[in-house]
Amino acid sequence: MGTFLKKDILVLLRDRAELYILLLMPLILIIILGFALGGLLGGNTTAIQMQVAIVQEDDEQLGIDEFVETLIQLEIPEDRIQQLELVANQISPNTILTTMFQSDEFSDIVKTVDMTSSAAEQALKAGEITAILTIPENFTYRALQKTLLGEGGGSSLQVKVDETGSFRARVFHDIIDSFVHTFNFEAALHQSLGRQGEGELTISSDISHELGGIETVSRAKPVSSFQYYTIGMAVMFVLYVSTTIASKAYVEKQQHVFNRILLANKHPFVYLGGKFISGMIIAIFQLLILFTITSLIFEPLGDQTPNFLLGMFAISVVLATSVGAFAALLTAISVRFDNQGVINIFSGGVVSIFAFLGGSFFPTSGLHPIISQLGTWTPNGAALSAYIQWMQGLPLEFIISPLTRIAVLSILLLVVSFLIFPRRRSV
Amino acid sequence: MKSVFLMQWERLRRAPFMVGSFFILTILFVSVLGGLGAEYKLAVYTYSDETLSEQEVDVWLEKLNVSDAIEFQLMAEAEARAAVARGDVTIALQLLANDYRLLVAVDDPNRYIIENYVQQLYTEELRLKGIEEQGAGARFRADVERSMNDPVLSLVSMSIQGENSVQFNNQIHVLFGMTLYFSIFTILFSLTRVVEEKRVGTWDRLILSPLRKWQIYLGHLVYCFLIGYAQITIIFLIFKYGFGFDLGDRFGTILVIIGCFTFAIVALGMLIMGLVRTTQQLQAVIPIVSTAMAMLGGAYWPIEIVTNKIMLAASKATPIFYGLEALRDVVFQNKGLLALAEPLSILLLFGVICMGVGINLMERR
Repeated sequence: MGTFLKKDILVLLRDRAELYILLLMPLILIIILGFALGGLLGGNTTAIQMQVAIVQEDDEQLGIDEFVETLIQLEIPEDRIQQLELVANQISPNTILTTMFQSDEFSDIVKTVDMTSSAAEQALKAGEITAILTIPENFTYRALQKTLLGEGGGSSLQVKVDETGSFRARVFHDIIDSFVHTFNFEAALHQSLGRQGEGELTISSDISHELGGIETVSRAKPVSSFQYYTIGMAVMFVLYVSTTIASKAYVEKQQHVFNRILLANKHPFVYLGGKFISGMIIAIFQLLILFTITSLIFEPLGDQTPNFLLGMFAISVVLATSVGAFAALLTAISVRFDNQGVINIFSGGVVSIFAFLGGSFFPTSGLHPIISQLGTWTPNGAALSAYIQWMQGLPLEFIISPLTRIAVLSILLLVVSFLIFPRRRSV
Repeated sequence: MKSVFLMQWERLRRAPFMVGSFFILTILFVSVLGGLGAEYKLAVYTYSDETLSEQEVDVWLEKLNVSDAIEFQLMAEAEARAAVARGDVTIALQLLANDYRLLVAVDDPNRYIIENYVQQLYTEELRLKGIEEQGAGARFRADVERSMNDPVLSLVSMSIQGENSVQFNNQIHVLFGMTLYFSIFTILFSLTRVVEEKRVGTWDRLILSPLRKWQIYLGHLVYCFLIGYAQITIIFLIFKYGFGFDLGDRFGTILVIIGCFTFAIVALGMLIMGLVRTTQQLQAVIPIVSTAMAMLGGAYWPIEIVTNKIMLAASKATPIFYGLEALRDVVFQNKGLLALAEPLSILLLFGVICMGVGINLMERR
């Protein structure tokens, strides 16, 4: 078996192009994903930026003046009017809205431009802006009238977007929706308090108290998106090792290397076993090289204690067994049926689907639960969750179950491949 | 040309395994994705400790579960912690007396949706409680609720899309992306026949025959084009009629887009085959090129969430980006062929350039 191993590894080492692809492509993709999506998937909303047009049809000062006018007409006592005017100035929704637009939090995401209605329409059609926020005529007056006097029908803000439901449009819509909800809530509090004679209460535009907080399952920080994609891409690309090994085997079959091996009185199973072990060894190396390079250049995957590294190595070995097992299975099928289609299907279709289900492209928690269930049974998905739990500093018992799943899968694949692989006579 | 073309079909008839499997795999996968539907609730495991009585927990849960999008499920603390640690869910919520904590293991975009939701609910609830404690009457809460039902402000949303357009839906986007992505494999792997023929030697025999060079190429290319075209079209038909996805009223335009996209990919295949020598290397290159292109071009996620300028520039170099853009415009904005001239002509240009360079490279050897 030793000579077979040496042969397999030498054959791969001599084919530089393929070796580079196996090692460099995942690195490139890790960088793509880490940088392209890292900010946003990591919840860094400053990564989203949009231009929004504000069409201001409301004259705020006029609205407040008209409101005071109404108060006078209602023959409300003078001191009460003064009080209400003060409140009106404080709670004028237009001011609160403008203050919100100017806040750092908001202006990091949305750049607002004042426009006329027709200019805004054109800009939206031309794709220069994401949305138009229209503040209608008499907005201030109607809002105040309804909030403070309980009369009239209130007012409405209007958001017009280019494509309903597109990502940016949704973010902007949610921001305005949340503003409207908060304002209504505060106004409702105010009205109820007023009705109950509890006196006036100022409506605060800032209601975010120190609430909530984030806890992690262990003392470690949550896994960052860069770390996530390093692992996600590594466990996906390690699967390509199996197709590489199997396609080399198919060449050996075509060039009659396999038949000569049989003539040399070697049992065919030794050949297949060699494929299994060389797949495993190359997979381990690929994983180690990837993790080392990304840790050195970008971000370490965890604290570099011997215990941590040992665990990462153990998970890699278990994952590599499944890669070796896949290599054996693909070799067995392609040699037995003299067809390399199965290798193409695996590298083209199956690996992509595994990667998708296993969460290599993005965490599947946002998809249907069945998808993440399926994902736990893919070797890459199980390994991904094992790595992440280990990086979180969770105890050993947590990673046992995904590793067992990978091991069970590997054994099954190996058994099947030995059953399929041609015995002496059938060749 | 015809004979080369027909020979490919004969080959497909004799060895339908690979193309057939790609068809079936794609249809199965996309059907599972599409068939499961987007209408399910995000489950958030919720737990609390002794500081809250069972009754209080129930009250909180009832308030939390008003949302259509998120479902808060009560369970024991150990169980919820284990689920987050195992990665079954990415987030769990701990209810405290007047506060809450989120338990996370991996950064996940859903966390911010959940956090905003819970935060708003808690803030309002705590304010109400605060006022009640100051001695507001018993009817106060009901009164606020009544006022909320007749709100001061409202929000009207509109879009500039025409009457007949379909609302953007991320699921349809993912389905489009996956369909185009998988079709790349079918097309490129079918094209590897050319390399295979060169290796086996039949290519030389064909050249010696009275056939012209372009006839041989065209025979292969038309076959690959039709295979790819058929795959995408069938899957779109399944969406439309099988799952009832609303693909707008312009199916004819969609067919034209599929044609341009398929042409670009066939041409890309020629370029790759001009650059790579052996079938083995092709087997390594094809999945990697397709996956990288799909990632850059936005097949897995809407391209708008990518903000890095270099990545955006890179995305414009992938045919899948223009294919998706055109499909999106037809379905969601009801644009006609003329309005799509830009992405379609870029696809065609991309195809012509790749084809020219590719055939040149192949012939040079």
